[in-house]
Amino acid sequence: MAEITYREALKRALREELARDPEVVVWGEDIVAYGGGGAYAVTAGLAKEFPGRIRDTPIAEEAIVGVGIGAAMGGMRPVVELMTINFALVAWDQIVNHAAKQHHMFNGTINVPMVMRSPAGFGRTAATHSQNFDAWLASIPGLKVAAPATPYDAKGLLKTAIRDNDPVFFIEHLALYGTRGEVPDEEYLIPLGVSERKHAGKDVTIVTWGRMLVETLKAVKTLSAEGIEPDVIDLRTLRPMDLSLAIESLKKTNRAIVVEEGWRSVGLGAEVAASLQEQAFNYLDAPVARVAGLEVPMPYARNLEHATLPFADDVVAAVHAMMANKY
Amino acid sequence: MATEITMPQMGFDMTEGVIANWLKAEGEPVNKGEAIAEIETDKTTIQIEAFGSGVLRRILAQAGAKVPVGDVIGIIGEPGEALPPVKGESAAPAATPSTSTAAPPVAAAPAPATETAPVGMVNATPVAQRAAQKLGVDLTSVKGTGPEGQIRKEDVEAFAAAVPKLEAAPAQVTPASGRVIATPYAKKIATEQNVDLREVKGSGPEGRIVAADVQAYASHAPSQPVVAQRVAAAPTAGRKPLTRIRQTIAQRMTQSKTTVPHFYITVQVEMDAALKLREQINEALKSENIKVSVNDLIVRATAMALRRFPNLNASFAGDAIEQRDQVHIGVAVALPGGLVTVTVRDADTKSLKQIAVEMVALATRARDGKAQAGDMGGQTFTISNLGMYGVESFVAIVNPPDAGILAIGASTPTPVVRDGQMVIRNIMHVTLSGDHRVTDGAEGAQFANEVKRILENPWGLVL
Repeated sequence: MAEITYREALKRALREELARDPEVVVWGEDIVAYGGGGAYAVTAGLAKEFPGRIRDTPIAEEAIVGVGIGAAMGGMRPVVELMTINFALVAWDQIVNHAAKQHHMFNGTINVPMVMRSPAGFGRTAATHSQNFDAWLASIPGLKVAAPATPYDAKGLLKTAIRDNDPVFFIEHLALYGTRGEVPDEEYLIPLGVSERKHAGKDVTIVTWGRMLVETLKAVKTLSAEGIEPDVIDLRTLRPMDLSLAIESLKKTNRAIVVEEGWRSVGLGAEVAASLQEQAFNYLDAPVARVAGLEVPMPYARNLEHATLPFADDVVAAVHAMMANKY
Repeated sequence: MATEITMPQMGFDMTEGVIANWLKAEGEPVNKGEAIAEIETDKTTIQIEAFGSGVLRRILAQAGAKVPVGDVIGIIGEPGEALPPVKGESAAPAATPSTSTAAPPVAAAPAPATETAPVGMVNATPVAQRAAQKLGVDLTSVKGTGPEGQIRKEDVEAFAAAVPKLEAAPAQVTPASGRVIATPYAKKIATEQNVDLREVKGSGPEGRIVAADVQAYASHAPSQPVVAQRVAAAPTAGRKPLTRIRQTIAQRMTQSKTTVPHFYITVQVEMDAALKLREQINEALKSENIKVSVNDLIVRATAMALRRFPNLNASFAGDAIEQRDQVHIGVAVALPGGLVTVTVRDADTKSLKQIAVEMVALATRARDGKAQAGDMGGQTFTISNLGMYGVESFVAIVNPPDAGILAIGASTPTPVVRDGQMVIRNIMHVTLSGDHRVTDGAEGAQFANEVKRILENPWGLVL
């Protein structure tokens, strides 16, 4: 099995689906022209392999998503790329009021089999370009939301998303594009809405996804050396959200921490914590704790950016506090 | 390292004590084990020993003061060492190492922010908030040095550096409200293991009881030193602080005898057939090195009788009687310092052989102090057997939440009349103590006679 990057895994998923189904098309800003393959080179080279099916669009996100919705309603399977998730704000009406609702408002007669791919994250891009909308997107009925953390999951979930008959928002974290992982050459799919245990442990349940899974697994190395073994559950899909593994784990560890990058208030950590106490109240030996980003517009300076976001050491600190009964 | 001196708990019913006098003054050196103060309880006066060496840095409760159990009455530390902030005290002057014998000045520890931040609002920089989150610092306790009292990262770090010294002494907080604060999981296992949470000391924030505290309590191994153990032997001759097990027995038995209306029924059981059958069974089990005891026969007979009298396999629950699906027989086992009840689960479905093997294992583990989760508690009915002490008959106290308990005497050769003839038979007295809220004399008598009938026709025990 070859080790490839997250970026390459996404490209392979696109390539395989483009080859498999002639209705699959990929549209986005600069995905052909700009250095060949979008701002983050996910589509590099695909335009030559699939002439006419990879297209540049104007800088008009509302139109990009809107055209995707129309094409999907007409029977195509468009994958639209939003250059950064921050630009999804411009297309919010299309995403929330159209993509997510058509099927339901027309009595199930219309499907919108579209994927919206977009990188979230940070990298000295300051307040308006360094945001995390995981929680917002995951709260929209009618929309499915995937946020894979590994190349393996990215490929398997993107292929499933393209074949799904509902609109799927596919969140790709900037920090993950260069990460590597084993991806088999043969074809495989990963169902939407199924979480996975990424590290088996017995002491505390950590529920996370996306970039924070990578940070959590770094923290696990430190903690394992100290004899603390967290049970790490990767949600992979944020809507529908599968908490069955997390609940099973909590019943064993009796402690849980939700680790997210986004803002703490009204975040997905709050949602997970609420669900855990609803479904496993009698097994909780401490309040469900949250590790989250600070609630400030992102500063530009690197040290302040770092201070704003959670990293592995924050996860270690939270686990230490949990194991010392400080929550 | 600063060590707190707390008001010790001498006996389970002590809630506060009075400082009779201090034997050391502030600033005086103390050695570990040296008497430093005298405490009056409502029963006696005792001396408190220092459990660390250093200097008596602070006296926080003067002679004559009445102090709740667990509250800090003084601090032992190194000369000049920065002391953690003490609840209710404002900022003290800055530290200057002092050699004078007068009370040394106390190091500046960040004091609770009272004059700056408006109520309900903490004015702290994002980096300070983050540092507070990381270090587990409550920002409302930190005094800010920034503009308008804004809390900065350095303030949080300074506070955190001062506070952890307190952690050496385990927090033993009793919630002021008297309400038991425990996690849901701690409550769950306390119910499963029949632990009264009011007797458990919590090790979590604000004295919260966590699962580990319940487990430690249930295994009679306190998770933290019992406060009383730190205290010097009381000068009063013969006074012995209650052990955990005695505390539990005292609490449970008092609760039962004062709240459960007991009634008693005694029957005489002719044990000759049962004793003979036991001999035959043990002969057959000889090769397996298993011995069925008389008590095992009684456990099985009682379990079988309870199946026919579900109302006695029940608990009084305030506005209802809760009958139990399963028959779990508790058996009292004497230990050097008291007694415990081990539980033979589903005794009605087990063979005599199974019961015999299980009882040996349960009793051995209990006597060795190695009882496992599930060995104790959860019983639906209890048997107390003093036959091995030659006791003819006695009455036992109902073991809550059971509806009844059988007190078993010795099988004694006794002249009895059978078919108009005086003959000698092995007679065993069985006394039922019943909870009159659940059952009545007539039902109790029928149940006792059913136990008698099964034991006198013992083949039913093996069929």
